[in-house]
Amino acid sequence: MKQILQLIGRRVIQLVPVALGATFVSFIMVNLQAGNVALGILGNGATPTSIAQFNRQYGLNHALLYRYFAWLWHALHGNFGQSYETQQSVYSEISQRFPVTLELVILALLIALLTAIPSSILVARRPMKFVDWTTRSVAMVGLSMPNFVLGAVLLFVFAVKIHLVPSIGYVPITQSLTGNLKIMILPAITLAFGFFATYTRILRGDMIDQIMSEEYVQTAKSKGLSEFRILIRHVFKNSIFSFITVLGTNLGVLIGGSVVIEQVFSLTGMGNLLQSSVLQKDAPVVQGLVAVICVAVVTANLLTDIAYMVLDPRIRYGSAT
Amino acid sequence: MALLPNAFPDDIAVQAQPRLQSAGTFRGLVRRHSGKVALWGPVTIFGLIVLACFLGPWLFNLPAYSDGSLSQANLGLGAPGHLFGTDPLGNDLLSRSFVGGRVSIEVGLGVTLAGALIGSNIGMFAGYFGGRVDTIIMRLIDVQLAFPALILALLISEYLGPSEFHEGIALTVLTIPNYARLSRAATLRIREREFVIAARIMGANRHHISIRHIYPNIIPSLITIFPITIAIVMLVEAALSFLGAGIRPPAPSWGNMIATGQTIIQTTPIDVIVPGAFLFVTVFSLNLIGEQLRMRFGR
Repeated sequence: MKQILQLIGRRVIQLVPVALGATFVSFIMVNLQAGNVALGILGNGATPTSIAQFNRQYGLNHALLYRYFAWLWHALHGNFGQSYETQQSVYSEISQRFPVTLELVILALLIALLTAIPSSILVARRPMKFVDWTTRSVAMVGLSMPNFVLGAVLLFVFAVKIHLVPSIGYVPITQSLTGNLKIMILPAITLAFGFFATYTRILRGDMIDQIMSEEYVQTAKSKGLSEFRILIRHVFKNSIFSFITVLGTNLGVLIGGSVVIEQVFSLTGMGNLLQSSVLQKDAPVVQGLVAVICVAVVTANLLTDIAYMVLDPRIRYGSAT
Repeated sequence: MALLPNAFPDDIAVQAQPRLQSAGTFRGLVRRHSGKVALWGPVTIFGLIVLACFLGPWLFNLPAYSDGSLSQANLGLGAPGHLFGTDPLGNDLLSRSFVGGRVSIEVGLGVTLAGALIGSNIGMFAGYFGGRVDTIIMRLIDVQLAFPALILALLISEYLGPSEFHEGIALTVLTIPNYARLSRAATLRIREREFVIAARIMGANRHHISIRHIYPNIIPSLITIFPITIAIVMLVEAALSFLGAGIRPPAPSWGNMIATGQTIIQTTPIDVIVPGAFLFVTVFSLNLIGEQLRMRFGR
């Protein structure tokens, strides 16, 4: 146990410079990009006094490096600054949008897992046969299908043509569960399709490799265990480890995907906020979002490592490295 | 001598029999050629799309991709003079799809080459010299991978300003770490091989060894993931243009055509379907090529 805590501690310490580096680079990039902010925001009616006032309000008179550390200090205290565009605090803007993206990501992940795991177990049972071939083809389509095209097509078919779900208007989950699910199901399926493809391919490959080469599979077979028992208790259980690594590193991709999906389905989530604030050069909002996303991704990686250590007996008992 | 002529034909007959039988049937034909078709089929499709994008408007004498007249807006499938109809500004959809495809193909190929060249050098450097250089480079790559790829590309291309070249730079930054990791792993494997040790014993310096002995051996594993990288780059490029950060109208790209079409999908879904199908088929063929290469040369 002490060993695990030490390993976790070391990983946490390693992650701090990663998070710092990511926020620093994005801060420089976002703020250099913004150019002369005051002129851009105040428009043609800007006077020297209003510009000076604007710069004082947002602390733009200081050097960039100073501004980064000031931002970091405030951010660590929960204050992410103020939006140039809406004058709202970045924290409240993000916290309004956060639940939508969180729900989208969780739903998509659930759908991807609930379809990918059973289908890859089924496929590993009879590789190179009909079911396998079909699943692999679907996965290949999933890898190649741009999610915004799939989203647009699904929206056209299910919302415009057969009116199964509403095409627009977000309903909070606290207001109506079914109304919320109706709005979220298409975006979640769209986002999940690509991940279904990736997960199925990884799981299938890993499981078939084991069945072909590992001796414990031979042993289990000769003991007369049923096929499904071998697949689930022996083969799948082992595949989970490499799969967890993929899951952990995929959070960033999921969030990136949600930027596009929210645009297609006009959901007002974090991705939508990110896109509009990047295009409007609203530096404080972009910076706040990037920080939140970086911390989320880094934390997910950390949790992956911990899950790996806790689950894998080879690491738990300290026999390997 | 007398036995041999008897033995030979028997052997040949036994072996030739099933071959002749399967050669005659459709199934045998499929079995013998499926490997070739699986690789060269998608290669042909991809090649045709590339040709069509660069030569199509001229070959088929299509109308210009911009400056259409509003009186011809939103024509449907098979309208006279416009095979796939027109967009809301009256421009020919097929012509725009071809010209827009040039962006995807140029960016896809250019970014993959640039990313592979830069990334493989960084990875080889890190892997061959090891130690502190290696740690720093790998840590920097970790920093970059903490960013969701699409968001990083969005930030960089917005920061540099909208243009095809800037978009290419943004996407190159994304591909570098993947190639760096791959070639670092390959370098670590090759570094301990006999021919490298032999070169070292013969007094070759590190520069010579890395360029003449290690780099040529990394290249095959780089080429194996070329098609898949091109496919991913094309998808991200389209997503950037879709989000309004890449190529901007009136210049066409598959991404921004889909974005335009999506606003009017309720009335004219063809505006999404045509560029979407082009993008999908291109990426699909690249993925199929990549799959074949991976099966043949892969790990």
